[in-house]
Amino acid sequence: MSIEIAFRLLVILLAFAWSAYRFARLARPLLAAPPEPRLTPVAPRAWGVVVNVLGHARLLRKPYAGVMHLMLFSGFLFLLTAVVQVFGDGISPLFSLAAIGGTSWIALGQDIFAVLLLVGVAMAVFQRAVRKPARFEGSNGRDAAIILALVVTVVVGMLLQNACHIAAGGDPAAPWRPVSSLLAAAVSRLGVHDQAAMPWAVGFAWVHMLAILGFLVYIPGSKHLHMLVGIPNIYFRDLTPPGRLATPDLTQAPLGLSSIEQLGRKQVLDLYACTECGRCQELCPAHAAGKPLSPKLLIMNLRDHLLETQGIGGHRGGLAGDLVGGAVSEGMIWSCTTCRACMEACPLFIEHVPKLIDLRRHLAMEVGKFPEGVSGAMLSIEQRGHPWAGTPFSRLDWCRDLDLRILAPGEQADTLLWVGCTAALDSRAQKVARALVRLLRRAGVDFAILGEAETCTGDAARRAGNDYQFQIQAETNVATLNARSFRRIVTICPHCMNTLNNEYRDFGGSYEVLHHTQLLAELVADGRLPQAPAADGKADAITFHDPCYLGRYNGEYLAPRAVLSTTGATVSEMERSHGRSFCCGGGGGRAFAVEPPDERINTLRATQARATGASVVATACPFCLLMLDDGSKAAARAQGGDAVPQQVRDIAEILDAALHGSDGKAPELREKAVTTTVA
Amino acid sequence: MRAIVCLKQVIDPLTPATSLVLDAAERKIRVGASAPPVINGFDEQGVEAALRLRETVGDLEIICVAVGDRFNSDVMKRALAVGADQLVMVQDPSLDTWNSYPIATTLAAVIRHLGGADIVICGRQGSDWDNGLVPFILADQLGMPILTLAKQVTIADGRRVEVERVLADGTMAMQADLPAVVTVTSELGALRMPTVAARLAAVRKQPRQLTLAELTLADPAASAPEVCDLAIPVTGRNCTFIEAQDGAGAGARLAETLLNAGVVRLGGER
Repeated sequence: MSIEIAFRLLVILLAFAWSAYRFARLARPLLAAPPEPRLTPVAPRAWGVVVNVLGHARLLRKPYAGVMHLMLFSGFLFLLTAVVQVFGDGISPLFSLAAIGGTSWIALGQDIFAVLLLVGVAMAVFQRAVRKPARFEGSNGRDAAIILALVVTVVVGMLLQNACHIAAGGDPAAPWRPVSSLLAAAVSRLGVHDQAAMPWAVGFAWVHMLAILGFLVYIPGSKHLHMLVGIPNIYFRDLTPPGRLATPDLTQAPLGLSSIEQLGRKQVLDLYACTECGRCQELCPAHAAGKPLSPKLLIMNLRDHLLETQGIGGHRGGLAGDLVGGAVSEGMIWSCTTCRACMEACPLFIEHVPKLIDLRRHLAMEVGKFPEGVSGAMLSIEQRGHPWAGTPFSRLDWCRDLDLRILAPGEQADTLLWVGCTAALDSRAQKVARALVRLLRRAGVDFAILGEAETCTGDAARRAGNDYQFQIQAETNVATLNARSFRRIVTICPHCMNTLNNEYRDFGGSYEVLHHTQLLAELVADGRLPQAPAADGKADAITFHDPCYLGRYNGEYLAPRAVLSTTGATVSEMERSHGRSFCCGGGGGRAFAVEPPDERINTLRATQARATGASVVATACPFCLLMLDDGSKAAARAQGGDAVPQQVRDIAEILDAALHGSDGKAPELREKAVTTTVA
Repeated sequence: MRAIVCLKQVIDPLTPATSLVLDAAERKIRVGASAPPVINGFDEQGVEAALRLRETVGDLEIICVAVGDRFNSDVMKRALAVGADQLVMVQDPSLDTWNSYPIATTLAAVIRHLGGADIVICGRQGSDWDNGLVPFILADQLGMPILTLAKQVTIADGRRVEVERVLADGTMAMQADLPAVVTVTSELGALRMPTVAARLAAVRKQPRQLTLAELTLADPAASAPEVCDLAIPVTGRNCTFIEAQDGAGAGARLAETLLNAGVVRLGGER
């Protein structure tokens, strides 16, 4: 064994030992974390890995970054052959991959993917130095630069190593290495050829190998850990329905997340997987409104807090203090609307919202702390069964003149109309309920309501961390529902729909639940409601705002649009729609929060709606309706002059107006108004 | 050191008028089962004041005393959930009254029965009848000084209470030697939310029930005022469209309409 080979072995062993030490440090908190049962079912989990790792499904939603990543990813994968080669050659001169194509197609592939990698790196540099998307704000730029430099060193080292080999005349794969051959010609012209090229080949082999070892040592503790952690993180992703939060046992402390050791194993894996790409931050409505939340910084702060408290050393320092109120501020915890845009965007399936809910559970149930406005809503749910403290209405006031059937215990109806607190108790939202009743009667649907027996589903309480109150609501409502028989429930509010459908199963309530737009689409499709004529040619220009709990949480994007299309309206889409829809600001209990005027998400959304030029913003959620109603006024004021606010209307109101011959503006007003002329 | 906070169970002041029912015979207001009662909001602030005192004084026993009829135990036990050591309730049909005198007399008897208090905290008034008399009668019967409308309550040297009072256009600092009665007002801030652990613990605790027979009551007042009539405001909406050629005409017609409806009066008319 030559001294050089022995030295090489020593370097390799030292690097592996160093790297193993760094990996082991990271593994400790991961293995110490409470396990989460996420191993099965194998097939859908594995398929998700195929689609999202090999297929880059989520990454390619951003074409530039997606293609760039695909080049780096595929190049990295293929150049693993070069890694094998450089270590093999380095340890034994007899080592060769020739038997499996090392001197033919593998050699060709290495040259091609080396070029792709260099193009990918150039795109990454361009992206970070020139395009500078805002989503990188707060990310660790130095880490990215070090990795890109290492990638370039590996690739260039490999190419020059091969080029010098060819120039030395000792590479049987030369005909298969077009790029290296070109480089060989170039270095030959510089006098590096034949015998003189051999030391250079050895030298570049060292550069190549050292860069790879550098990588190996650097990765643990870098955001590039995602290369290893990403695959398990996608495999172990949450497969429960998005709208179903875990139900904690309230007699077993802890009730919420107040210490980092409580994080489950997949939750810790999330922290290691984050690449700081900022796709979550880019879509976060709270971040856009200037609130103290970025889903990316939440994950980074949790990660660095974990590393610092474990004595491993985070990337930034200063986060070793308290978790709540320290590494993660209360403002950050309460700013989230639980809209889920971050989780839908994350290429690595990191779970931001459940962590925030867990932190809220600590504040709400272990400290007794809520933001201003939200505490009043919580108290009201507890005392009155609805969050709208101060409403002048009682639960049946909206329908006193409608002679609705109230389903008593033991009675039976085809469809149970779950009105929801907002539609029952807010004067604006009541109009939606009345419009829906007219449509159901027109279609001859056999329906009834629960009347005074209906009480808040508890969605706002659960998402504000108050699972105690949620569980009381759930138990009460399940008992009420199970005492009556019906084929299915139709709700006005997507939040009610989500809770009834997804979350009451934990409490013995399993129901077929439809959102009213789904039922209306069905009634129109079956011909039970006529296609609304647009004969007067005065159909409105409408844009549709996707409610988060209808779209992202329950996958319904088509039904509301299908109903709209039957009214002859011209529907234009906002830049952020469907799965990328921008929250109204009302989810997660935020509809009740006192909002600083300069941090209003609803104003931002209404401004986006305004940009479509449509005169009407359609939506399908009472929270969205109220939030956007306010927002549209603020957006019009911001435009100044005589700008008229856009009308904000529910799909049911729009269909009702189209079918029942109102002036298409305010159907309810006509019904109630008493017109008098003063002489 | 012991603080006693007086609690009243009231009809939820946020109950919509459509849910209120007038019991004309008894001259009382009733609500349906869908609108459960609440602890008088000002009294809740009294509990909050006591909890804050405990944070500074340390060794402070907090006893809540409620006097009335047909208590909703779940509602009243909120006092235990937020941290009161004891809840004492006296229930009797005769205590379902708007009359402050028997209430205050009973409260004074309970406080004496319990062995007195260093500080008695009351809400400034009940949100149902707004009499605001109980604390004064109580202070008189207990022979204690009374400090009213406090937005901040502190105990100095373990023997003196200091309060910051709310005035229309400022504040006023006052103090008195203990024992004393203090009334608190909404500027003090809302009662804290209980933690779940405390709620679950409170479920297991039972209020202590006392009967009027167990108490030594002062003589009732010779003559009590009585309620002659009660009315629930009738609310409604009447939308009128003013039709006119132009804005000026519409304005004139609006003024005319409002004048005819008696909503506004011409200058000089009284």
